[in-house]
Amino acid sequence: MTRILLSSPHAHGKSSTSKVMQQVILACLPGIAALTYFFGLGVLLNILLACSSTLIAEAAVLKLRKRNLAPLQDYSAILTGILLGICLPASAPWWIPISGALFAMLAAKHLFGGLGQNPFNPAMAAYAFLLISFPVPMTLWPMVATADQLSWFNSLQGLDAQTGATALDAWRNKGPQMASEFWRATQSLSPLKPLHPAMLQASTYIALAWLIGGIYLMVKRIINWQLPLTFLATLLVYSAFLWGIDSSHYAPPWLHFAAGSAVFSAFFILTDPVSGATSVKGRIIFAIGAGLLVISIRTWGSYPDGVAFSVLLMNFAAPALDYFTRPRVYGHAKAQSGMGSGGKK
Amino acid sequence: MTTTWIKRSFHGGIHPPENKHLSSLAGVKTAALPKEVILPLANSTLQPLVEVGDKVKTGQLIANCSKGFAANLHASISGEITAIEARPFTHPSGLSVPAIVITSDEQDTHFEHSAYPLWRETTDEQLLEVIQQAGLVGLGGAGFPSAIKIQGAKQQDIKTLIINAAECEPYITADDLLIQTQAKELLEGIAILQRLLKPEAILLGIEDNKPEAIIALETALKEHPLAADLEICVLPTRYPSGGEKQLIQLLTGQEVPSGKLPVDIGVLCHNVGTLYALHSAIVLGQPLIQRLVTVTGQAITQPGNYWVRLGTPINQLLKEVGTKTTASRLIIGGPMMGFTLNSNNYPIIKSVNCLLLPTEKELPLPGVEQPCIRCGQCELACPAQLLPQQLYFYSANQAYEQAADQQLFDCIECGACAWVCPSEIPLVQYYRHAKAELRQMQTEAIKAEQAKQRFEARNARLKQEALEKEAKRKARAEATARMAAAKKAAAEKEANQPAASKAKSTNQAATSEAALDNKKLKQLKTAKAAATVAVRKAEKTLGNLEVNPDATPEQIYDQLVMIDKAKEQLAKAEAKLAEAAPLQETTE
Repeated sequence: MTRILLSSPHAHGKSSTSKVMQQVILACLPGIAALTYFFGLGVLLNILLACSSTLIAEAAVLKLRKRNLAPLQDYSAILTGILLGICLPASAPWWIPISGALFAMLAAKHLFGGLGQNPFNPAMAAYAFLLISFPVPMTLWPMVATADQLSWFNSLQGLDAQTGATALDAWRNKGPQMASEFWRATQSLSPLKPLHPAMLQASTYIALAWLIGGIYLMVKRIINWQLPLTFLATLLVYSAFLWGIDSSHYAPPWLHFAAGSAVFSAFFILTDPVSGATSVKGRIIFAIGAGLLVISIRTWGSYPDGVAFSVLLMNFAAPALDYFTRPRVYGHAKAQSGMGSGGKK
Repeated sequence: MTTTWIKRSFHGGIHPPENKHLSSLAGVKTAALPKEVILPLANSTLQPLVEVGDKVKTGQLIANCSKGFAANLHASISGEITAIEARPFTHPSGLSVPAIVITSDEQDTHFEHSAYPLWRETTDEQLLEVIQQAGLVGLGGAGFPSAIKIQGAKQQDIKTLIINAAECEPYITADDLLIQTQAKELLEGIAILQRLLKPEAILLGIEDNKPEAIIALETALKEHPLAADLEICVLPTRYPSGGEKQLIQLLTGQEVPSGKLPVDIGVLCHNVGTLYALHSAIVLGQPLIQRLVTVTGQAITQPGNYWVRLGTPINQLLKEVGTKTTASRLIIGGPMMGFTLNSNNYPIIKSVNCLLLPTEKELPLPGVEQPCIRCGQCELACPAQLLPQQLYFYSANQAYEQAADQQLFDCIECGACAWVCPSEIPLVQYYRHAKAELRQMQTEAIKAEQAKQRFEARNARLKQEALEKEAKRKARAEATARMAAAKKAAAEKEANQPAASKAKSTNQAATSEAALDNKKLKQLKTAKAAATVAVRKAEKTLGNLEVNPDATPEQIYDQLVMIDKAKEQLAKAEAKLAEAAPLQETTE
């Protein structure tokens, strides 16, 4: 009887790429539920459009590249679609998620060779593309539903619905106003108030929902603690530092934490392994860099939130980080770093 | 006596399903005496000491290595040598090597070797001699000759002797069961090694998934002289704690420097199986003719641990233990580091500690390799703290030198990275391939460097010779000029002398000188002709060698040297001739 010859190891653990992706998608559910609750069904519509577009685009590219269609089952395209859909304003017109998804799949992923080859986070590349190309629909968020108005039923009507500024946007646009004046204004009954308190409340709940999903991923060991925790810590420490210098002009740390996409990005965007740094030390530096950039862009940049640009910039740095943060290998007195000796010893 | 729970740890590691109960609950059995054994001459320096038709007894020496590089081979059954021929060798390559085949006479009469039950009163030299004679090798899987290892260690200062009983590979329970059933003998083996090496500490590393073995050891140790010296170190179960480097790290906190051996930091590791065999060799006078083999997997009807005579065909052993279903794989060793064989037509050799026949449900065949998503699971699992994802990236893209730069050669091929990889990439296979390519590149680089050195040396020599020749030529020209001047002067002098006496003297001198010169000249001309022929012949041979594809660079080099010698001869002959020629001119 002839037997099969195989290289060791002959046993394999139970993990698989598709299972990893499935877990991440599962962990997205609380956040998606919170988003939908506050901003309406437009969120789900965005996700649905983005997902179907990424899947169709991936299938088309694989066909064009004469590749096996098996990668469609690894859930990575769906995950990209979900992550992109989550980032988009709930009231965005239908072509926004579709064009974003196509950009993510075609330009950010498959032009570089498909899964595992992309130097940039596809969802963030697509988000940056949309934000630069279509700034108006990309920054208009619908007004959150408050208890007295079940507006999320109406939100399907899209742009006709009432829109409101997000907390970070409002803060950025407060101009030379003092922090105390800004907060007093948000409490006023004027319809022209800069920030509806319900908006701030909603984003806090949403951040907590993302935190639940993120903790689930850490407990399941799908993601490592280094990236999200270092990122959030950097965010808090740096914003606290600025706030300590001048609390009347710099946003308080809790605003940076609760408003905007900080928590979501920490657990779901930064943790994209393909485009990030790969060594443990490299990941920590990656997260610190992203955290510093996010606060800097939010404070001095021309966009209210800066996660997409921060992540893309750190993606650029990832290969260099990997070169300079290699761990000390067993039996070596020191860690090797840099471009190395090119194998010459 | 102390039992310590080790709290130190090594980087990474994994917890694959152990599946040890399959074989550990069945106890130890002795496999039936084989009708025929195949004993491969594993090392090419092993020379058979028997011929076909010879009758041998169990334990009789049948092959040895005069230089002591390889472990001796003994007949594992009594009977007749029926063949000495190439047979499949139990090795990942599956290649055939010369083997001694013995057909049993079913008597199992033992050859008497001298035993040393009172080894404490024997000299070290005597003990080492027995170890060398008994053909002991490392039974943990590496198969390195024990005599060489122990003798080497004796030259160095061994501070810590480590007994490896970790047995971290899933499925395998041979060491566990050996300790449970032969604890006393094992301790005696350790004591012999202690006596030979005189280490400061003796540490026995065992994973905490073998409580029966730990109790057996503790019980036996109570009444043993080793009680004061041996420390039983219980390790948390985590693969690969039994890897030599990891075990040293766990037990001593030291790391073996890259590219060095444990003896370089004063540590020596031995497997429990080897130490038991050491006891048998010295106390019982029994050379290495059998070993304990775990036969396991869900495709086996009666899994368990079997004492198997070396050379027993795997076929026969499997027939004895029974196979339930057709297993697609036969794994020699454990599921993490074992290798597969394409059929059952291989013998059990000294390094085989486990036969694993898994069903496909039990150990599924590898799935389709997917792209690496750099998730970093492998990095967390790597006990050498490498970056397996980077090693893979460079190995798969054939950037072997960068892979080496990422310390590829510190990889111990434990397979932890591939086990955790969600993309099911056969990482170890990539690393092995890259290592092989790098070794090949290194060999070629050494060869190229040697060729370059030879070429440069030759050029330098030829240049030197040309310079010497030039100097000689100049000297000769000067000599000729001097002689011509002298001749002229003499002629002028003669012209001034009386004619008669001049004619007479010239005549006399000319006749005697001319006869002598003519003879010498002829000799020189013959020598020159012979030298010319030699040069042509050598050049012709070189031409033949250069067109011959089988010619080695050494042959061509030798031929070049010969040409140079012939040319030298020719030059000498010419020089002598040139020296003689002016003389001749004067006489004519």
